[in-house]
This record gives sequence, C-alpha cells and structure tokens, in this order.
Amino acid sequence: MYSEISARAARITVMAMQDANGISTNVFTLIRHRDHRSLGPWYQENPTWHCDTAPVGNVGDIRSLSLYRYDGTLAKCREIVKRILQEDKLDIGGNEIQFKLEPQPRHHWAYQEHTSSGIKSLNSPFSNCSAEICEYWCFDADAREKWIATVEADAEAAEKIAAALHFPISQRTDRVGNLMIAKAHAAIESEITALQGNRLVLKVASRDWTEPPQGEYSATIWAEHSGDRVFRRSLEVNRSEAVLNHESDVDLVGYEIYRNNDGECIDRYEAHLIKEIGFSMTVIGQPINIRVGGKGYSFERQINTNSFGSTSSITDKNTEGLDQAIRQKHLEYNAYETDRAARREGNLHRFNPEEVGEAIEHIAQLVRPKAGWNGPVYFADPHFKGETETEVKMLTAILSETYGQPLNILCGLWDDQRKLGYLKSLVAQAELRSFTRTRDGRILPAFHDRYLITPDGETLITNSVNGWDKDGVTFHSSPYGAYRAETEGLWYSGIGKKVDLWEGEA
Amino acid sequence: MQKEEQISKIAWRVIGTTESPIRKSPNLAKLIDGLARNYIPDSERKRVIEVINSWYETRDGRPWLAEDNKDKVHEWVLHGAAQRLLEAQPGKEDTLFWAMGAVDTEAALETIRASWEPEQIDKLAEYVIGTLKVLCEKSDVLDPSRAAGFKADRGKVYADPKYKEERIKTFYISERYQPSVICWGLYTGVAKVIRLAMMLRPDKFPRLVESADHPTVQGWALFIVSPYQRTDPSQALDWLKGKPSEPLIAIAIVHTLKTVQKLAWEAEYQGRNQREHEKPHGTASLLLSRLVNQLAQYEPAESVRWLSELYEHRVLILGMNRWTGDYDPGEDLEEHCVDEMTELVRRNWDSDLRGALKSEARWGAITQQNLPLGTIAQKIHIDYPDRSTEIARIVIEKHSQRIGEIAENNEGIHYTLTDSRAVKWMKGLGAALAIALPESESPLDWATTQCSRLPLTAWDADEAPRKFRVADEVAQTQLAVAFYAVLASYEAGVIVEPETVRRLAERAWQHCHFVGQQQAYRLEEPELEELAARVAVALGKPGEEWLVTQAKNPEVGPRSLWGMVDAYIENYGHPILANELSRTIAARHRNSKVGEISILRYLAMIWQRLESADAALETAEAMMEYHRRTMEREDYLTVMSLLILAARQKGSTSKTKRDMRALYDHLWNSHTPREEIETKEIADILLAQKMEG
Repeated sequence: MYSEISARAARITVMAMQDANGISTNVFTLIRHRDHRSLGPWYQENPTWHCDTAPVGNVGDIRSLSLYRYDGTLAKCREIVKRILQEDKLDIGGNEIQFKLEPQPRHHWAYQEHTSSGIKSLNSPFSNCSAEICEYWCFDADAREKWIATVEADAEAAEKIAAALHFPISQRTDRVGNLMIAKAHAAIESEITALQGNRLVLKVASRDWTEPPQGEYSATIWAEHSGDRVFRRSLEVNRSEAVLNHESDVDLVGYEIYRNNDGECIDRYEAHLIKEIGFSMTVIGQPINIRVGGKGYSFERQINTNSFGSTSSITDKNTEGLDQAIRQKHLEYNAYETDRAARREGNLHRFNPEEVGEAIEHIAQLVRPKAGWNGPVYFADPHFKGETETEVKMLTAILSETYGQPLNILCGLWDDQRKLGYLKSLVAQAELRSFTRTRDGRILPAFHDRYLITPDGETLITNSVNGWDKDGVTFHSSPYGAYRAETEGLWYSGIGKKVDLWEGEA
Repeated sequence: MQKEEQISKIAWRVIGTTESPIRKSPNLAKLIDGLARNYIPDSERKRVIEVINSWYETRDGRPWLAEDNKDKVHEWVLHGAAQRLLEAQPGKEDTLFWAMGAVDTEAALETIRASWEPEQIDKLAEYVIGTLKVLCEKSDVLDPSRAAGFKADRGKVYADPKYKEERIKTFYISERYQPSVICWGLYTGVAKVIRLAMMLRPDKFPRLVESADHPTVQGWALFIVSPYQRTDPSQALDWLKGKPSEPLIAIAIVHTLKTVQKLAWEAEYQGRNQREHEKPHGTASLLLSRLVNQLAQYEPAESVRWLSELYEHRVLILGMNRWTGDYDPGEDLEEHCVDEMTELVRRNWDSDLRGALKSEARWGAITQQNLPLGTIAQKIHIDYPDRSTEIARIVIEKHSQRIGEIAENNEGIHYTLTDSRAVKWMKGLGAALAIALPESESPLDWATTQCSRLPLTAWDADEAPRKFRVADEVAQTQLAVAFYAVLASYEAGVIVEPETVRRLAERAWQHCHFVGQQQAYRLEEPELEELAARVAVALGKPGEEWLVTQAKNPEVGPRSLWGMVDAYIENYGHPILANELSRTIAARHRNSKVGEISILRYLAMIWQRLESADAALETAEAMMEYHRRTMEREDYLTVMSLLILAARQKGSTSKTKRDMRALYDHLWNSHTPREEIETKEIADILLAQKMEG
C-alpha cells in the first residue's frame, strides 16, 4: 500500500479568499494524484508552495483571492489533508486558511463528458482519464454567499484565479468550501474514433498490457443523431481496437467501460461530433480535435465543445435524405430556442436606417477582442460586395477592431476586380471567401443567413449590410453557437473561393 | 506675348495658392486682386483680373475652375513655372509646387519634353526635391482624410518605426503590392509632382530618397522609377557606394534582388528551351556577390545589420523552392552572405563587430530566415578558436533568449526538417552548441537541462494545454539542436560517447511518446523521432540486439523504427536479426490498423526495407480496409509495392491477385507517370504469371 502511495505524484491547489480582517477561507481545494510515471520524462519534484494573489476590490468582506499550489508525493499530500481534517485549517508559510469540512467524505466518479445538455455531473479533472473522487463537503452557507458575491462583483479577477484552480468553482457553487481528492484512473486509457463509412472504433490501452486481459472489462457504446439514440451495443473488451458498424449517421458518441469483477464503471465518455466532407475526426478529451485532410494539405483544428450546441453533418448516401431532414428539424429547433433565449435575455439591438453609424459602432464593439478569445471571428453576409459606403465603412470598422485577430469573411458573388489593397496595411490576417452555387444558369450565394461569430458568441443580423441604410438592421446576440459548426464546416469545406483582395492592386 | 507673360505671372500663383491642401482656402476674388496688384502693371491689371476670373464658374456658391478652361490654364501655369523656376528657391516657397501638382501630368510631360531646356528640367527636379524635403520634415505630404483608412494620422503606417526596422520589407511591399495605397495616402498634388519629376529625371531618384525622408514618398518615387532602373541591372549597386541613407540602401537591395530574380527566371526559361543559361546565371550571381560585398564594406554594425536583414528577407523577393533549374538564386545569396560574414569576422575582429553580432543580428521566429552564425563559427573554428567560441556562445545565448520568448508568449515554432533552409539553420545551431558547450557537458546534458525547465508534465498538459503544446515544440527543437551538435562534433573529429548518443535518442523518443499520449493523437509522427533514430544508429554504435530491444519499447514510435531500420541498413547492411526485428514490430502494431494512416505508411516502408512479406500483406490489407477514403496516389502505390513484395516472396494467393488487379486498374487505367513505370512492369509480370498459372 505504502509503495503505491509513494509511487504517485500529487498536486494540491487551494483557492482561498481573504477578508478585511486578514482571515482566509477555503473556497475550494483540489488534490489530484496520478502515477508518478505518467508525469512525463522531464518531471522534477519541487515540493514547495507557490502562491498567486489577486485583489478584488471592496467586495463585501472579501479583499483578495489567492491560489496556492504544491507538488509532492501522495504520501506528503495525505499528511496535509490529515492535518486539515484534524485542525480545520492549513498553514502555508504563515498564512492560515480556514476549513469547515464534514468529517466523512463522499466517494464518487468523475468521467469525461463534453455534451452540453442539461446540468452535467462533474467532469474528470484529468484531460485523458476518469477520476475516482473522494470529496469532503462544506455546508457553511456563509462561504458560498461570500464567493458568489465576489464572482458577481469582480468576475474577471475571480475567473482568472479560478482558471488556475482547474475546477469550475464559479459554476459549481454547491462545492464552495469543499476539499476534493481526485485519483486519476489510468488503468485503462481509452478513446473513441468516428470513421467515415459509419464506423466507430473503440481503442483501449494500458501501461500494463498490450492486449486487454480476457474477461476483465466490458464496454457499452452508444451514439445519437439529433437527439435520438441510433446505436447502443455492449461488448467484452478483449482487443485493444474494436470496430463497430452502425447504420445511421451520428452526431454524438459515448461509451462506458466496466470492471467485470465488481461492476464498477471505470471510464465514461460522451461528446458531440462534427463531420464534414473529407474530414476524418477523432474525439478525445476536451477540446475536440478535427483533422482535415485532402490532396496536398492536411491540418488540425481544435473546437471547444462548449462553444457549439448543434452540429452539421454530411452523411453517407444511403441515409443522406433522412438524416439531413432530421438534422434540419433539429437545427430549426435550436435556432428557435436560441431566438427565444435571446429575447428573454434582452439581446436584441435595433437600429433604424438613420442610425447606420450606430449600427456600425455596435458591430465594431461586438468584434472587439476580449481577454481569453481564441480563434477567428467570422462575418457572413451573402450579399456583401464591399461596394456601398455602408459596406466599406462597416468593413473598415471590423477590420480595424480585429487587428491582430484572424477574421474570416464569407460572402456570395464577389467581383474579382474589386480589390481592397488599401486595407491590407490594417489587417493582413483577414481572409474573404466567396461561396456561390449555380441554379438555372444564375450564380447565387451558397448560403442565406447573415451573422457574426466571435469566440464568445454569435449574432444574427437581420439585413445585409447594403440594406442597413434603407431598412435598418437588428442584431440578435446569443452565446449558444447555432451557426459555428456549420460555418467552420463551410469555411474549410473547400467550396469557397478565396478572394484575392490585395494582390494585383496596381 | 507680352499679355501672356502678364497672365502667366500670376496664373501659377493663383492655382498654387488655391490648390495647396495645407493652406486655408482663400477668397478667390481677393486673391486675384491682391496678386494682380503686386505683379501686374496698372495698365494691364483690369484685363488680367477679368481673364483670370473668367476661368472660373460658380457652383454651390463656390468658384470652380471650369472644365473647358483647364487645358488653357495649365498651359499658363507651365509657362509661368518655366520662368519662375530659374529663380525659385527650393524649400523656401511651395506655391509653385502645388501649382505643378494641379496640372495634368501627362500634358505637362508632353509640353516640358517638347519645349523646356534641359537646364529648366533640372531646375524643376531640384525644386521638387527641395520642396519635398521641407514638406516631409513638416509631415505635410499625406492627406489625413485619405490616409485615415490606414487608421493612422499623417502616414504613420509607412512612417511607423516597425517599418523603419524592416526597410527592405517596406520597400519590397510598397513596390510590389501597394502603389495605390501610397498614392491614396499622399495628397494628389504631391503624388503628381513626384511622378512628373521622376519621369523627367529618373536619375535624380537617389537624391530624392536622400532628401525626402518619408517612406510613403520614397515608396511612390520608387514605384515610378522602377521600370527605368531595370534597364541597367547594376545601376542600383552604385547607390550603395559611399555612405548612403538607410532607405537608399534598402531600395538598392530590393532592386538588385528583383533584377536577380528576373535574370534567374530568364535563365530558367532559356535553360528549358534553348539550353543557353550560362550568361544570365553568371550575371545574377555576380550581382549578388557585388551586393553582399558592398554591404560588407560599411561599419561593422551596419554590415551585420544589413546582411542579416538581407538574409532574412531573401525568400520574400527571390522566392523559395520554386527554382527547378540548376541555379537557385536564394541558395546562391545564402552562400554569399555566409562567406562574406565569415570574411568579415576573419579580417575585422574588433569590439564593434563583436557588439554588432550581439545586438544587430536579427533573430526572427522563423528559424530558416535567420543568418546561420553558427555555421560561421564552425567555418573559422580551426583558424580562430576564440572568435569561434565567442560567436557560438552568442548564438546559443540568443537562441535561448528567443526560445524563452516563444515559450513565454505561446508563439510556436514553425519549421520542418524537410526544408533545406531550416536544416541549414539547425545545423548552424548544432555547430554553435558543439563549440559553445564546455567539455564536461554533453549535448544530452544540455538538452535535459533545457527540457526540464519547460512546462512539460502531465499537470501542464491538463491545466495549460496550449502552453504544453508550445513547450513540446520548444523541446523538440532543443533536442534536434542537440542531435545536430552531435553530428557537428563528429564532423569536427570530436567523438560524443556512443552510449550518450543512444541515451539522447531514447530521451527524445520518451518525450515524443509522452506528448503523444497527452495529446491523444497527432497529425504526423514527429520528425525528431526519425532524426533521433538516424543519429543514434549512425553514431551510437548500436548492436542488432539494441535494435530489437527498441522495437519492443512502446515509447519508440513507427517513424523512429523506420529511421532506425533504414539507417541501420544504410550504415551496416541487412540485419542478421531482420526476421526477429520484423516479427517484433509486427506484433506491437498488430492492432494499429484503424488509427492514423501515417503509422501504416511507416510500417509499410519498414516491411519493404526488411523484405517482410507477411507483415507487408497485413499492412496492405489494413490500408485498403480502413483508409481507402483518405488514401492518396502515393498510398495506392505503397499498397501495390507491398502486394508485389508479398507475391514475390510467398507467391500470389487469389485474393492478392484480385487486389493487385483492382489496384492496377485504379492506378494505370489510362496513363502511367514515368516514375511509376518500373512498378507497373513488375506488376505486369506478376499478373501475367497469374494468367499463365
């Protein structure tokens, strides 16, 4: 037993809030431990406490937030926990942090789940394996109220410190004051891959064997499409790679792995998929990685699963019609829900024709980069041609505001002769692609809606820019991501024609 | 004529005053009246005022020069200018400048060329240059309302310090891409006058650049004179003589490189069609040599700065990897730069040069664009060991500094060891490390210290995946540098312990395996794995047992195995334990069928090298079964080669034959590329055997 403990490395992170009297209270303490060997070839133990502190202004009693971090052996960390439980406090270099913990812990599991529906159970704090959790609860309402007041008053500081905690305490306020010990359950490492041709592949691996021992593990695998469970199967895990065929297209996959001798679920995973033409994709942990490949090119892209609520899929021929129709219904439903939520939250901004200037300022403010943004801004308008004064002003505004950020513009037919060389010195990172289709000999835009996607939300735009000065425009913001998946799919599909805005300017 | 003289005396004054964008709009009537009072005799005054007033019509309550009168008025202005220029003092007055800027340039060129004396043209050019100098000093050349599109008042875009630091890039871009931007930003009058002066006297271009220190003005003038300068390929090099200003140096560099590019294209074209490409090559190479040599004649700090900036931006102008003929001007330039810098260090090792190497050498994030100072250290190592060590230390210190910034700012490192320029840079770094390291420290020790400082634990992968990813790139770079240091030491006759080399490779594989686990999968197997394998096999004196041990090691990925097997056969011949090696690798990867196709590609190469028929067949089937949709032509060829191997070694089964036939039809249904003919012929024989049998 001792040797197992000493072979494990642990990291403690303690988040505390200090009041005006200098008293520090535990907001959340997370102790993660894992096999020492899994830390990597360059790991060097450094058993000292590190501290980051951020002031939060005068928020009720609270003056600052601190995050303490310690790396050591599991044995050492257990000593620390024991002391906390005995003394209701932890002394870190003279700073005393108060704890109010129930003496009996609760044991449960945390898995890797990245679906966004409903209230989720806790996700594993490890990126590639499940966790056995031992959690000491705090039922002190005072701590929770103070923390909520702090978050509401200075969300930026609270989020900054909380991000380093590696536990979403801002969302899980029921856990305020707790101490959680998470054991990485890496006996089995597993992943699921969705292949084209309606095949799922479950892979399992372990440090201890090359092929799974017979009869020790079983798995249940499921898949959904537009909310319907279209596939579910149980199997013995007796190969490191199992290939399963399914009939319908899928947009969500998941699995559970059970230990046969006690029936314990030791690994669970669920996540949305995005599939597009020419894409093969793998889902593992968070974020989702999409690999895009084609002749002469190949690249990888990360998509944060929190940022989209619907997906787009192009399926095999035999089920294409049905799947597409269901998908369309599902998207409509999502759009309706998005719309309803936006109205409920007052995210509508209306500008009349004489308020074009204000409308441009509004969109400029929407694309202005914010802390923590990662990824491009998309602007889509099927009738955007960069010709009218309003269009040029709007374009200049968003180009200026996104300076240093990638900006992807989607439009319909674009006049090849139309160059915007004068803007290049502003933003070389902007790219415009023209998406068209032909019907009855006419060239039409390949998409219909007008919208803006930023890393933190989406805004539907009711009118094309060239009509703002005639009919006005309404912006309709939501954080739900109804368009992101489709847009990224469209952008990388190879359908769009990259418009050379700068070259050839003479 | 007398009457014309009277009118022309004040015509340019009226036009110059009203068209000047930097003066307040005058009351036209009062202006004409006042000027007539000053310059026209009483007897003529009334008539002249009437004539001039008649040029204008009123629209929206304001006087406008009537369209019908423009040509006539412009003639008056030119006539007046011709007289006035003889006594005009450049910089003292700008009315004439704005008047010339109002005239239609094409018409003015025609008139001036036809009727002006050379002396008058010279005076005009000098006047324009002198006036521009003053306007530039006052920042009165850009139209704030037109330059507003730059989001920078008064031309900050082109006057921005960051552009000044990258003069070559500035002028390359301004000439190549943005003449209209520059023109848009300038006051129309300024743009037109510059055009007029440069079209008339392109030889005055260096004077203009030296006087008018404004990148927008210089860029525009450059655009105008470019066609003239190209007629004499070496003319721009003359601008480098003496002590030219920075813009002129940059412009001369841009011009010379563009001329070289043109000559190289011509050579390539002629080489393709007429096989007469000696002359243009020779001229291009000579130009590059003279350019680099001239830049090395300046003060050491200047020389180092310009040579490294030239090296950095060579790809921008000369292009990269697009030369298919015998001559690659980019490579030629690289060699000239390295040789010239080496000579500089040999002949002039003073504190200025040493200081310049520390502070003036440019270090961009794109490694292959940096001047490989490590190579220079290597070149002088035997003759000047102290100088070599000092340069090597500078290189390693700068490299560490830059790597630290990259890791800190999550910038990422972009290079591939399939790019010869990146390899050149890495070899330079390796050489520098080999020279700079004290005897007691091996490249393995150095790499271990470097990597241990990085956020590369599983905790970091969980908490800061982006930082972890960048740290992985940094670690791979540092490990690659260590391998190149081993190679450089070997080349210099200093032997790194074979065991140390093998341990270095094992550490690299450990690292790649660990990162691969954290990131679940990767797009491509890291290049480092193969580099490690090849160096370990070449210089680590491995036995065949070591090879088999590594084949069993789960930390050694398929690319490493491929590198190991290939390098072993290359260095020592076919291994005696080939069968065991093949069985071991096959057993480890029996279930690697569905994952990344890149794994199967490496396995396929291994089976072909080891001539392992069973494993070849298994991999061919896995590729066809699971990866058909993502397979490219090369993959189909690989599968065909695997099937051929299996058929030759084991004889064909009916399934193999069927698969071969299907592949054969897919690949060579209509056309067979030259490089595939040999494979096709073997397939023909095997398929024919099938027919006979």
